[in-house]
Amino acid sequence: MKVTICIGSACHLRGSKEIIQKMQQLVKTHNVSDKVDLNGAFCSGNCVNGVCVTVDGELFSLSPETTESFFEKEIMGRL
Amino acid sequence: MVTNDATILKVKHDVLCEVAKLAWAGTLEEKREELPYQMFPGPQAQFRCCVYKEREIIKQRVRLAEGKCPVGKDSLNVVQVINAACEECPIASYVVTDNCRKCMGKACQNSCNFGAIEIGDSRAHIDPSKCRECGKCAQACPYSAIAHLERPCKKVCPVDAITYDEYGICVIDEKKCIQCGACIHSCPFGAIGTKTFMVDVIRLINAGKKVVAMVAPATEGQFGADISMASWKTALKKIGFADMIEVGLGGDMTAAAEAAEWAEAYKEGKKMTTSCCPAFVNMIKQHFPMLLDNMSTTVSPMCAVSRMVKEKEPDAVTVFIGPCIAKKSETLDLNISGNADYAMTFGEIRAMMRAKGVELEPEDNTYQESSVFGKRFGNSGGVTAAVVQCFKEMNEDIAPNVMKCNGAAECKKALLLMKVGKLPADFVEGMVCVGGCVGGPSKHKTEMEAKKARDTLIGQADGREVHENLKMVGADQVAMHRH
Repeated sequence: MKVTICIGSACHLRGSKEIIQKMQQLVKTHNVSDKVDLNGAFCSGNCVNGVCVTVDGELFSLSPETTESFFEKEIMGRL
Repeated sequence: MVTNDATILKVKHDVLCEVAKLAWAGTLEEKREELPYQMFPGPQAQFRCCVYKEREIIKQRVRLAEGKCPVGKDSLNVVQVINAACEECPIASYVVTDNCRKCMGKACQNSCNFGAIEIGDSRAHIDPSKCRECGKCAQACPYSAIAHLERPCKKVCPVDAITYDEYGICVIDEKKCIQCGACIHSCPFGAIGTKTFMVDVIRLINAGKKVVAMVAPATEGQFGADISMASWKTALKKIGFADMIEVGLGGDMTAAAEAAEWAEAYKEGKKMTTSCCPAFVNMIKQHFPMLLDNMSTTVSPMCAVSRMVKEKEPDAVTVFIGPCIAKKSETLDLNISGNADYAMTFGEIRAMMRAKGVELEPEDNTYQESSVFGKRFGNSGGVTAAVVQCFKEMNEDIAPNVMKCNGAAECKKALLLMKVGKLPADFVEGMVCVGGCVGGPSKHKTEMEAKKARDTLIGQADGREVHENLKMVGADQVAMHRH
């Protein structure tokens, strides 16, 4: 599963770095590193609502606080 | 530098510089649309068929400079085609030139298996509908009268990732592209470029973030014998970077970790490859996935230094600067934690400097954070030399046979041999650019042009050993593996 997280400056200032660290940790604790491929993405211009994250091409807007529930639902839920 | 693209380089650099000026001033949003008109006021065209096309190309270049795809579509590839700039070169064909003597021997016609060659009034003629581009006629002609026209981008691509659409415009097959960047400077129309993180880095500096620069081992010598690492540090601090670290130190870190890994593999009889060249890593991942298990799990020097910085200051933003395009793709691989946040080329960072009126100024070569071995990581054979030095320092009595692959073609050959179990060597040092990183696509000077200055600068460094340096700098406790 391909997950992208925007690393552009707008998303960076909204906490994308924290989201990335949380995701890396979650992938490790759930032991799914062979199934989940985490990628950075350049700005796609959709930064109004929050940090841009895509899962297999589907766009979501995240904040560091919602990362864990998002991971459980949209990533673990799809595996 | 002797290059086919001096004019293009100037245009590219001017675009980067103008974008950087607006980004520093915080006015990019409102003024980006004006740039094409500012750079090509018209009404006469300078390089292309009309000024409107020239402006469209600038518009696409501005998007690239901002890290966006040149046209609306969304793709993760770092290397991108500026489709307005692609001049639809002949795809590939053999043509008979004026050298043809319309001779009696007709070696061309006799060599052609497809009946594609007819003898015209003044010279031989190749029927493109019958020609299969085997090249036999060109080899057979005693007057070298048959030329092979090939797209320069396609010719240099080591992994055959360049194709074209129905209009003849270049298209990159992103499943194959290893982001090496060879195509970028091959194009005599400048129609291929890369997304840049320049605007992001400027915005983060403007926002008051602690941004730390990490300068590649290939840097020394690129800008002359009097531009030292200290010169870089001063210039980078002037434009707002909090600090600068030499990635040669990461070379030392990687060499030490890889030496331990290789020593173990050697005793087990397992063959391994290096993992510091990001284009080589991409080549293995995308074209030889069955060899992933043989790839060293040691992180690259860039990642090593970034991890060291972040251990001390978790909020620091780390930015790699070097001659490499593929490093940008390495920063996008978030499966590796703690890696550099962004990667930039020499051209991009210099545009950022120039936009602020800052230049690299000569300074005494007093700043040294890396051993000579780490500094030489950027040369083909440099990784092996550093690892062998580490064996010596570790009192490991082993002398493995390392195949030093200088350039993409040699890398591919070694990986093919490894795949079929016929690799004669124990280890493979893979560097996709010829000469190593010093031959990288975004180099300022060629390896030969920079050699003397590079040897002078590195010659001034003291003779510290790899492990000694790691202890001295306090870099011997950083986690050095991918996961």
